[in-house]
Amino acid sequence: MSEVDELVDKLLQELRRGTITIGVLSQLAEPQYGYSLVTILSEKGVQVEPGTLYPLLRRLEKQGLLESQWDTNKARPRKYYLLSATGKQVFDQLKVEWKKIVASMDVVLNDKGESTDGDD
Amino acid sequence: MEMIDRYVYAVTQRLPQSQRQDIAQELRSLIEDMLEEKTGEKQYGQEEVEQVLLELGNPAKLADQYREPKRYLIGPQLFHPYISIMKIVLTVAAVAMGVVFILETILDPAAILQHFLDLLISVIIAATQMFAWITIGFAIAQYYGVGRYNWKTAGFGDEWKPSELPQIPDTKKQIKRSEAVFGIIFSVIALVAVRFSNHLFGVTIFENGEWVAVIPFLDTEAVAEIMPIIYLVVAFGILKEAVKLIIGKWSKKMAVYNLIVNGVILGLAWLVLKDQLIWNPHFMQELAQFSEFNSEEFATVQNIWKQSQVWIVIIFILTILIDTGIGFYKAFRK
Repeated sequence: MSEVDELVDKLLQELRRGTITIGVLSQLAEPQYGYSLVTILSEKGVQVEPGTLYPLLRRLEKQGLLESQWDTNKARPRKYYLLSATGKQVFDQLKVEWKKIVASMDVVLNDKGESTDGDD
Repeated sequence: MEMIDRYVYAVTQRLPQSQRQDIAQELRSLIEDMLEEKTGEKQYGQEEVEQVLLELGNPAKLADQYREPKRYLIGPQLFHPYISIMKIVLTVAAVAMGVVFILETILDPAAILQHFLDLLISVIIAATQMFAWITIGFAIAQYYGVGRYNWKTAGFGDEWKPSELPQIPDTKKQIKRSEAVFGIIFSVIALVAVRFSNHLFGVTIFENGEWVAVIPFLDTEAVAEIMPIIYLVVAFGILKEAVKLIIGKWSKKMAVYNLIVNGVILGLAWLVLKDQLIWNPHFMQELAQFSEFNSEEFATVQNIWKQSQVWIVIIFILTILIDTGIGFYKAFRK
């Protein structure tokens, strides 16, 4: 049984990895700093490890999807990230694609569900 | 908090200089955010810090995620041939020097300690030299995109066409591994023979079953002078075989490459051999000291000695020409 759990765990991790980027982009219409993003996402049920998120933010910035700015006015300086114009476009398209994926996966999974129903 | 500084340092020291400061600053503020969240206040102890750092994970892994794309001195595509060529060259050199040591010890057992010291020094010098040059060669290949080129043809790049997939090498066109390995072995043995044992590489004189002297074929001073050229010749020889080993099949390009490298080797060898200064000029006199030649025998031996010098040059040139020719033959035959 633990072997199954392990496999599920591994595959789930791969599955999540792809969704994190789109999840991050979805929350950056307003500027956020690294840890606030972790909190917001986890409140909405999206679990992201901080060690994964922080480097991801920098990578997205390098790709031109995000813009960043240091806020040094507060007691603690923080780096805020915000969607760039390109980032917005990319996110809008990704959103459409994502919905398509969800729809087609629904179809696929429901098909399967019907044919194997009752087989416990 | 000292532990946070140590963590940030452990991450950033693995990153390029230009990104260090910014990442360090960001990471520190993120860690403090996490601590504040955990404790709900601005006071926190060692235990909380440890928990937060554990949550962030191994600093080496975190640095890995910051560091993209990956850069290599010698990438995964070249690593395997790099290791195999390194193994071949170092093994051959070690064996060759071992043989020199055994020979010297047989000839002069009393000085075994000195021979052993010579062996150690030679091994260290030769190993570091070869290691460095092979590594530099592969690093240059990596830098100028040999690694990336393989990526493309392996189908991971964007611009590939099915029609451009490489042909499965015809067995007739395959470069045998043993052929390339033999070439490398030959180059290294030649180098060792010239460099480390020019006082052994000659006619060995025994009297009453005892070793008396070696009359070297080569002139020690001349050899010392032209050593850099010999190193170059050997380096090109190994480079040639290494590329053959990696590419693994004859093609037009390969044949032309073979021609160019052979041309360079021939040119360099010409510098060494053109005025025949490399040969021991006192060979005949020294030989005469140990043998009772009559004048007729002396003339015969001298003739053989002179003839062999010419023949060695001829054989060397012929070998290179034949090697070049075989390359073209294999590349163009159907």
